[in-house]
Amino acid sequence: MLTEHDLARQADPLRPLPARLVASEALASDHRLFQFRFVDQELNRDWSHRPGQFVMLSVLGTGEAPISISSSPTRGGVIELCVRKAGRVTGALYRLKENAIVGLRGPYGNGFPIDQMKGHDVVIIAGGLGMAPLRSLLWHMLDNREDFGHLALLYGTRAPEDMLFKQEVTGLVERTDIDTYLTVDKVPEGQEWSHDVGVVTKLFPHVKSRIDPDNAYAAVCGPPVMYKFVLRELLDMGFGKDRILMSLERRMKCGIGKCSHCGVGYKYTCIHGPIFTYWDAMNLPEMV
Amino acid sequence: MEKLEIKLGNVRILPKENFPRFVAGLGSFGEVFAPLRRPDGVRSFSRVGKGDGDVGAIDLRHPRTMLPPKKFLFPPEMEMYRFSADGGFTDPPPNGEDGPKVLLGVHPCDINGLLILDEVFRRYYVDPHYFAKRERLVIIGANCEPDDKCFCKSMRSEYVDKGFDLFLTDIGDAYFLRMGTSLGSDIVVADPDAFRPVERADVRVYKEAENRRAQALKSQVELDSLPQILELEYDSEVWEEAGGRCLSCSTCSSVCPTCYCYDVFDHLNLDGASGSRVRRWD
Repeated sequence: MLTEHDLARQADPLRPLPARLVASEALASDHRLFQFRFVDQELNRDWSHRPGQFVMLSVLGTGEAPISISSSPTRGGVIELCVRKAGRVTGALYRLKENAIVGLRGPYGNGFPIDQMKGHDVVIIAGGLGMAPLRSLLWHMLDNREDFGHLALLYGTRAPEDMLFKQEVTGLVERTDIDTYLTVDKVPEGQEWSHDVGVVTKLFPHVKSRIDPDNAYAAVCGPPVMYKFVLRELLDMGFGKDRILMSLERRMKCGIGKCSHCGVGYKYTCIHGPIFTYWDAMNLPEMV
Repeated sequence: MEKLEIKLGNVRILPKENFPRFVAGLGSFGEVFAPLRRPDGVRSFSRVGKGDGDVGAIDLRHPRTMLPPKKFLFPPEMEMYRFSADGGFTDPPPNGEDGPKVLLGVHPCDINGLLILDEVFRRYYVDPHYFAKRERLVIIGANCEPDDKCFCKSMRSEYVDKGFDLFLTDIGDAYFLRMGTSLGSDIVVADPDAFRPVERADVRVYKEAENRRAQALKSQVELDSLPQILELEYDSEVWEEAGGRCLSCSTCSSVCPTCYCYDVFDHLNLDGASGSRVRRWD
């Protein structure tokens, strides 16, 4: 039975709830994957999210940071966050040992429009750390494979060692129910790389004939410079502007549409995003 | 906007000689705050003490207070939680400021401001920190004496039919009192002899007073196409000019009745294992 205290906690979307760091592993030179479980077992069992949503992470005394969820809701029980060491909160997170307690609240944001995407082809285009929010969508679709048409993953990074979830995505290359193409800008001397070399747009020719743009969605996330080229390719292929989904980042403070830190025009990234269609973004000043 | 409809059961007359008694009675509903005339001429929502001096200094027809009543619901700085190394975020202990408050003399413009703030803190997710204070705030509105800068007419904010528990309109030697909520009715019921029923003549004087006030609201601002103009002029150099003059003093967010941006800070105690999270106007 819920105590009065439990009810009060549920009623307060700003109150972080204690979660335990159960494991972490290095993904790339400056990225780690952290796995969390809520201390409250019941909450841990009931908690779910949509691909593309984010949580607010508190590390003792350093404040809060918005982090996109990398795990798929189809693989619950643990919340995976792929974090780059970038500031006070993430710096403190990197110093934590297993079993340390952090605060989590969420999930927030709109997430990908999964229901609309069902029955369509989907191409995921990731650049660098853009894979972090897209991985949730990737595994959600693979675990519900019959809900979607043709699937493709195009992922590019600077070098092989920058590739997030490298084992996982190279493992997908062999799968026949998704076309996976990987590329790096440059292969350092002495390293082995059996995939493409060049920017991510170089991968488009591999999948062009297999995706029906009239019946497809594209999910894009990557560094700002990538969008310009990727968007041009997608539009050339014939993708509708409202079928191109982008995961955008802003500095959310509250996550619940109050503090206005993530406001762009008359939209809040934390409420109306972080997933925006290209059409939305075009009409919002300075969105991309 | 809903039409004015006075059901005679919801209105009373408060003779001005009973005003001190009325204010004293409010004390049993919460700590009373009202716009007090300060020696420097500024009006500020301040605690009304028990003495006669404070009641005499209450100025219901003041032009504008220095700061809007926003500060009672969304304080400039507020401790949200205490945290500790076990990851728990608990409510801060009561600080003696959390009791019920009665705000006396809130003008229609400020009541409209509070209604907008309510919407902001309600939409998407309900902010319990705001509403914990809101539910403990009794609002007693009062009609204003507009000056040449009041542009309420353009904003349709010169009149309110909700957002108050009681509303006082000055009709000369008495106040025409509207009850907006059952709590407002409770205040009247608590001291029924302080009021008398409304008579036809009172209604006539009330209407005259309202008409006079409506005519005093002369300033008009063209608003109809403002949202579109702002969007179309996004690249205008006007913003650079205005931005160049900005000192980042944040006075604007202090005096704005509806500005709600905030930032969040964690303060770590010296033990390195506990602290508090605060939010502050941004």
